[in-house]
Amino acid sequence: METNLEARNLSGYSRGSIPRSGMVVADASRCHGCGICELACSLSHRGACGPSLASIRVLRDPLAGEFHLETCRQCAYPSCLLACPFGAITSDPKTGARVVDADKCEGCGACSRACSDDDQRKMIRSNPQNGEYFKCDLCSRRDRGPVCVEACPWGALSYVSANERRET
Amino acid sequence: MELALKYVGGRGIAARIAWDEINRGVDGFDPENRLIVMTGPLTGTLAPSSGRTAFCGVAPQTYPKPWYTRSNMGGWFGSELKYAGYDGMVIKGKAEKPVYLSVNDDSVDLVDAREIWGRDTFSTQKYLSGKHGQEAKVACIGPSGENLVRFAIVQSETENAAGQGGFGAVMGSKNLKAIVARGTGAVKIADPERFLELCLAINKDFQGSSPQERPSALPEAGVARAYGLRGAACSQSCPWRCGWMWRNVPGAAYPGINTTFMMCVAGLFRGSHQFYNWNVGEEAAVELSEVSNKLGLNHWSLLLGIIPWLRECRAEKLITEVDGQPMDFSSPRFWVELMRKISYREGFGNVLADDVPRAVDRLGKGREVAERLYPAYGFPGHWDGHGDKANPVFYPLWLVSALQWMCDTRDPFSSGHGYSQNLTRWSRVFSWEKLAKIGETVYGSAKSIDPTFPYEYKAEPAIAEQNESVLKDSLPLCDQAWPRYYSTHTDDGYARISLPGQGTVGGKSFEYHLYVAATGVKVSEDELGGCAERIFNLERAIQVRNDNRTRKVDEAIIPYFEAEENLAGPSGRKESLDRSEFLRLVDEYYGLRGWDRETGWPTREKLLELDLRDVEGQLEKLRQ
Repeated sequence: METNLEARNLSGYSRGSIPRSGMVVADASRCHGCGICELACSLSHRGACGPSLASIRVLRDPLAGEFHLETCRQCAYPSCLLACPFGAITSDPKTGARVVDADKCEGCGACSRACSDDDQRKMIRSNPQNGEYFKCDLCSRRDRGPVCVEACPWGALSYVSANERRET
Repeated sequence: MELALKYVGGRGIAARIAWDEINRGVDGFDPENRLIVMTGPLTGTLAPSSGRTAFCGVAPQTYPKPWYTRSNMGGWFGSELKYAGYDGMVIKGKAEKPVYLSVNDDSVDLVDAREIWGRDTFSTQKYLSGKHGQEAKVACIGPSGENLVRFAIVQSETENAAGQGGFGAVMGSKNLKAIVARGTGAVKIADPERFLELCLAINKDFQGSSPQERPSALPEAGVARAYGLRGAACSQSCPWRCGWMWRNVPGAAYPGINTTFMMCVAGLFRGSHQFYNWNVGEEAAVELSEVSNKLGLNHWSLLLGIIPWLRECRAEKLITEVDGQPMDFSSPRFWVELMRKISYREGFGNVLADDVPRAVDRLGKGREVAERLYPAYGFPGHWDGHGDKANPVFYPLWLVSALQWMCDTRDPFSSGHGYSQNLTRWSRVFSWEKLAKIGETVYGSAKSIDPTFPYEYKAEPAIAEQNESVLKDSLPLCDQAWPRYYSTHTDDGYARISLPGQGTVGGKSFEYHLYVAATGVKVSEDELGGCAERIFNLERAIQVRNDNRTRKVDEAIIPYFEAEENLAGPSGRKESLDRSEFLRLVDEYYGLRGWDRETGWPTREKLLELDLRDVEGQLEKLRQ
């Protein structure tokens, strides 16, 4: 349906010119499913605790004995950024994180639909309280780096910078 | 809001509701009974191991008669209820037909549950998550709750349960199969920055090593690895792993595969313990634990009460068979049959479904065995050096347990582990000198921990842990993880954290700081402690008004402790309780509590001091 994303993107990027981003990487063999990452994320960004306000997601299926962490890939060619008709998603100058500018966001949800069709796996979602879309910003404004990485009691999360990512 | 300021949340607010709404003479299965389901101010937040829910009401398990008490569970259910916008609920009356309660943000509905009545707890949850989505959280009952088994649990996911008290049977008596919660909201924090720093620092103190050095969730090799065993948090926001998730384990009694979380007492199913040695093997242990969870039976009542009672009755040739079958605890099939019979109240299972104390009354045998295993109120021993052999605590440390048992309404160790397990058992990596120092900091005297002063300074730690228990159940916080007294990160072994630019906080004060940062309530640490004392006294007042509680009832625990302890302590001798010394300790306890030494009732002065004027008004009438 979206055949020419570059032409419609208002952030000023063309496909080749979007700076690379760092990302938070999850190690499933260390995750214990406690959800501390989710609550630290929502608390740090939105002053409230709740998985619905978190940009990292613990998907749980307790009866199957399964839980799984989803982090934002901070894609090299970010569908969310390219899909935003208002240019509200840009690359953070410090970390490269694809971040939402709440002032420019009109709440249309194109970014979220572009991210994933699967509601459980969408890494950009709307805040049920005010309709604003939000996603992982790699805690770019936090001196100590991503709060989820610091909060994980098991060392299951690590931060890989844009440069480190480029090398691998 | 006044409720929240005076009674904190969880168990505290439940006690106030019970005082106001549950009258004298209400039975556990009476439609007039209330099932009070309460979260607290910290449920659903980042506070370490706070994902808990309290279940309170008249409990069918208590003996000789059902009376008001409490239970609680971890998991994710309470948090979801908070995210839907509710602190709790009071369920009264009785539905005409089986129903379940659906709470989905602003909509609350009673829904026909005839389709799932009769199903086990796992199947019930599968049905409900199919209907309400994978993110919905469920608290439900299995056949045991439906059939009014007196130790039926309220179950969530595979192993989270409000176990003691039989609140599953209370749900069953109300024809309430399940409560489903789904919420898209969040818990607003008054001081997010401070709260975040507190939680990060406390979590860090919980860990013996740095996160990167901590073990993988997956075991190295062997049978456990083959079954996809995985360490996991049992509750939202907990930095520990008290349990293990077993996945796709082949059955031993019957064909099939089993997937369940196993924690705490469930490990005893294995039977590889010195005293609980039926040795059914790993596969059977997983299967039996899962069967028990699915049927909705309380592990503790079963494994530390009914089974030891049956085994000792067999040894004394009082009971030798179950409905014509020999009692063979090394046979997984026998276990499954026994649990099924209890859950469906078939044959001898119908007798056991009322739990051992009532079974003894009915059978007229096994009383002496039961008296060795059951300290009081219909609950088997727990961290007290006598009935419960799974948790070693030696003389004189169990004197504190005895005082905790003495003034409770149930087994106190749903939230009373602070002294006997947490401090004096787990922290024994430290020297007694170091522990005595911690004892001085947290209880006011080194003698509280020092084994060389048996009957001295034991009332203070008992009262401190009872009040701490109230606070933990009200905030709520997990009893296994809290309180945080000792630490492997400090030289003197006392837990403390430093916050950037905000000074140092000692382990004893962690709860207070979490509460204030989360809620913004302007209260001093002493005032919050006063809330805990108020709640404990209110629960005592319920006992006095509704159940004729007196000092005589309290003293009924003495004979249990007069028996020889299970395991010899450092002296090498097996000690027992000295009645006259203990009675002196009881006087001391009442004095410190501000309770009348003759009656064991809270005095007028104490109740007024705790701002319980209306409660005092009712007790005053009873005093005359």
